[in-house]
Amino acid sequence: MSGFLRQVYTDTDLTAAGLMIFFGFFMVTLVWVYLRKGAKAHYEAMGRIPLNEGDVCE
Amino acid sequence: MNETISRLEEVTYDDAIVRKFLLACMVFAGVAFAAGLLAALQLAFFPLNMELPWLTFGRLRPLHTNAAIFAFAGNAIFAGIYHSTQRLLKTRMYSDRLSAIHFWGWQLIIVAAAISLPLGFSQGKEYAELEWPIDIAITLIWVIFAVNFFGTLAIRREKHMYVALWFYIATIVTVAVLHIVNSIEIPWSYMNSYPVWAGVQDALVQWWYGHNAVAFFLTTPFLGLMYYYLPKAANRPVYSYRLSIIHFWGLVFIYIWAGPHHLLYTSLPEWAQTLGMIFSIMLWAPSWGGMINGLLTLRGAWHLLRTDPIIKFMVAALTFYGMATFEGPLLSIKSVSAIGHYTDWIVGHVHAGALGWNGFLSFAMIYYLVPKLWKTKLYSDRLANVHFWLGFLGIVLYYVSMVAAGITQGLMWKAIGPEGQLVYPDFVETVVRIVPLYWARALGGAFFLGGFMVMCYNVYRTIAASTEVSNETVRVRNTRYSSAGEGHRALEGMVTVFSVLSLIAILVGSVIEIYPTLSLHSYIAKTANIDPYSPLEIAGRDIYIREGCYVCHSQQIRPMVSEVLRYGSPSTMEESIYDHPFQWGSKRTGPDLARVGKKYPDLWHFRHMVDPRSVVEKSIMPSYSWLVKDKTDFLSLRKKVSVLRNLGVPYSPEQVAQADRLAEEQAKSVAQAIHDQGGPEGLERREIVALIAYLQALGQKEKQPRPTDQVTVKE
Ligand code: HEC
Repeated sequence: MSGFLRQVYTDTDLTAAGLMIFFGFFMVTLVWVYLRKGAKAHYEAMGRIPLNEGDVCE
Repeated sequence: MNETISRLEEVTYDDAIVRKFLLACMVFAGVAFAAGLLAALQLAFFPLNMELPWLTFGRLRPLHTNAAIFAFAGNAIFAGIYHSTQRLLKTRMYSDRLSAIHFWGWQLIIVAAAISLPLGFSQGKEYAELEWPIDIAITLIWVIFAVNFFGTLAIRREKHMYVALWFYIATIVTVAVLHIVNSIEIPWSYMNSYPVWAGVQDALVQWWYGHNAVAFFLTTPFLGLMYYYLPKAANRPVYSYRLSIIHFWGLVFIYIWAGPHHLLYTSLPEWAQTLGMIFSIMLWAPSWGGMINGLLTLRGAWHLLRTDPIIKFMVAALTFYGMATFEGPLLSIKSVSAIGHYTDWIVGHVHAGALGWNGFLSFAMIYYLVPKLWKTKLYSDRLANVHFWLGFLGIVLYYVSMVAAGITQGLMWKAIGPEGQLVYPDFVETVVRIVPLYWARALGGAFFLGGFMVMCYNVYRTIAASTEVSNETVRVRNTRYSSAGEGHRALEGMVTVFSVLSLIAILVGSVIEIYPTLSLHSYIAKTANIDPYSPLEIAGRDIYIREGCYVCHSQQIRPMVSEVLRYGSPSTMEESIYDHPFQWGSKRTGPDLARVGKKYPDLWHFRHMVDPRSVVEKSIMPSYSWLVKDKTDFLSLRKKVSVLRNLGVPYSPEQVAQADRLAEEQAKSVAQAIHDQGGPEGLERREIVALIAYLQALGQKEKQPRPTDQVTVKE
């Protein structure tokens, strides 16, 4: 088992696999954030969170 | 979907804890900068080591780095997180008691570090030097911080988690994983231990940790602070919130893989090096995405750059961040690393990040927070400007001198003449050449420290003018249970899912990189053609670690013509397979020591350790005269060897049982040799003998020498 895992893990194709995982993940995030409908207004509101912190009480 | 059920509520923030962290940050910034300046001066002028064990460079440098990272940057992060989190979530911290335990616990850890490091308690792993009791304390306090933070998330009045908070979450989760994995160690005394990792394994785990300490202690939390304080200071929202999402996931996912770029051309397997290099280059994109997002936040408000010192510090910080994150990937390209690695270029690179990015962003935050927390105005904008220019000049001087020193020395090491011989065979020649640059660097550090002192005065006057110190109370709208949202929006509302996703993002790279090397180790150990160190050599090795020789010496010869000519055949994976911890090093202020064994007679080492100038006239190495007085701890050797045996180093039970006696015997023969060669008599119980035994064993542990034609050399 451990021998098999070692063989699999030290395969140089793993570098490519790692890259592909990341690339897939990245594309999904991009599509999600930029292409969904109605997201723009929401994100603008999100960006304003630090600026709307309520009124200071005396 | 729920309709809005928001209502107005009053909340009083805990600002007292922020004030405490802020002041602690300033106190320890002073300590870290002063220690750094002294260390810089010691390299320019060796007598400043003063032959005091606790002040010598090898012990001072770990104190400096730990103080800068964990005391200065750590307290800055906590101040910023406690302040901004309460406001972003519209709630007080979950528990005032936990906040207090976190604060005092952390300061106690710092004090323990400030005492134990000068005393020489060290694990010999960079930025992870602190010994096991302190490691446990760090874990506990970090858990308390995490509980307090996630507890606050749970009681929040703002449903959505602003981007700064994601960076905080990634920080808390990842630092926990890094610290725990890298600190798995077996104690052999109440203040000493050996890591379970060894050799190439330890190297990979350590630099996975070391690199990601930069990523998740000095980058992600500060990016979180940037995403909060820059919009606040400029009074406009961040340029693109969407970009910040891409920035976050890209950065967190990619960063964790980049560790092996610290190990290019070492005996780490090639595929892991390639992985580290590729991901480091990819890292350039999210880093610059974040920088651009920050800088463009100021679009239409660039005039603030002229009038507002806070904005000035922030813009400079972001610019230094951009510079450092451009240079990092560059240095990760193997051919660039071939010149830059082991030189002061890396030190310059680090300081562009640490002084420029972390330093300036913390200063900006302090200038922003102090008037707010003490309910007054900053004493002097002019002094803040003076601080800015002093600091800026300091960083530029520091950076330029170190890059120049690094490239100069890197090229000198590699220079090969027409007959195929080294142009600079004497290592010390390459040191002497850059000493003037060490002076320039120290001057840069002095400017930076001077600027900081101006800030201290400014802050002191500001606080002194304050008449009222109270916690801020605000009226906020509770939107906790409003619309549920979709997609990433919903994700932001779901703390647990979000944290788990972040954890997965960092674990993918960690597992793929580290797992195979862990098993590789057991495979090599079976076939290794290597003898473990003798008990006396172990004692010497522990002295080597205690004195921090690894901060100036590497033990890893790269497969390059110039290195093979200078030091001997390239280091192999087997050679350090029993090294708990590995001592490959990261900087060569002095020459590589991987094969120094048998290069010189014992007496040479004796004289060199007591006074390096007596054998190498222009040496800048500190003197270690106390090693002649202090006695070797023979008794603990049984325990040490037994711990090592349990960790898989092939000692026989007899060697464990007789470790002290075997060591004493070997010590006698080394002492005799020193005496025979014309040195003093009666040294057998002195530490210097153990250290010499270790140095003479370096590179000598192969059972049968390899045929030379197996050595592959690339250039
Ligand atoms: C401030 C950095 C620094 C520290 C710390 C330091 N050294 Fe050195 N070391 C040097 C320099 C520079 C040289 C080259 C000049 C010389 O030979 O003295 C050197 C040379 C050496 C050499 C000779 C190597 C050769 O091949 O000629 C040995 C052995 C050595 N150091 C051992 C040690 C040991 C052991 C320690 C810890 C107790 C130590 N050094 C700590 C800077 C340092």
